Amino acid sequence: MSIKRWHWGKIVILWAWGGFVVVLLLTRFLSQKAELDPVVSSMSFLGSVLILIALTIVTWLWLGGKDNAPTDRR
Amino acid sequence: MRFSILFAAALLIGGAAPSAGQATAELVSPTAQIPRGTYKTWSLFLVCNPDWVAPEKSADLANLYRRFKSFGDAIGRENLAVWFWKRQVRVSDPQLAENVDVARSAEFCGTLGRAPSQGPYLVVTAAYPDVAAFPKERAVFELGGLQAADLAKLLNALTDQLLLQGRVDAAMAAAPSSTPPGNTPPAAPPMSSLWIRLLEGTRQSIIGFGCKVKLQIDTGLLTAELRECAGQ
Repeated sequence: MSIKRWHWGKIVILWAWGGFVVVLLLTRFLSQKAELDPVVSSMSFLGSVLILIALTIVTWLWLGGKDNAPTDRR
Repeated sequence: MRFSILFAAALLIGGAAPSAGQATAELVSPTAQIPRGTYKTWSLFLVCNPDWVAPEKSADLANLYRRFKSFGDAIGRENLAVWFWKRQVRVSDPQLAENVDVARSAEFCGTLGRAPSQGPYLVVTAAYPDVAAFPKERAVFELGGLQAADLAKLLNALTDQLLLQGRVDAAMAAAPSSTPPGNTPPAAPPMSSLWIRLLEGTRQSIIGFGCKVKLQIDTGLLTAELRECAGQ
């Protein structure tokens, strides 16, 4: 039988660190006009988006999914 | 004896340091340091355009220098206006142009990545303008080719902002009025302006969204509330 099982501890740790980095990047992105330093602004914005995408993929592929329930041996 | 030594030391220190609260600094040596002080802003008048030190430009240069003086006085003692000379001369001196320290201004223009031909420039920064590590947050205004009335208008607007807000709006530096008529537009920036506009639009949208959301957190012991942004 297939069931859905999530590794909540790993998810919390992963997203806490990822969220921390994304907050730093977004703070940098929002604190200065883009025309002042376009390269840094671009990297900050794209970096935060890419990190969120990467976290979603990692969470979906490796931290959750379908597991087979142990066979009921009698 | 001890008092006289202390007095002499105090005089030496006082003489070496920039006078506190001065509003203009005319540096008359290639190695003279821009005063650090406790200023809120530094406004550098950079004459790095060779055309502007030609004898026929002396009148324009004298006009710019007079504007610099009045601008420096009007922005108050917390803001410093800086001009680079080779040596101090009178404004009425016919050789005035020859005394402008173009080489020193050119160092700044090079650091800023600005073409000397579009100058002179007025650069306003809220951090100390070290040519080796120039602050990234700065506003650069092209003064070359500006009519006297436009120059006065620009400096008046900057004076208002520096005196009342202690900073200038960087968007003013890109204002169409600061581009002289007939001049070729500045070279395209290395990054696509469309991409920069998209980035800036995204930034404004996120800020705007954040300002429209009212978030209240009540934990019993502590209550925090994020309100609508003021001035938006």
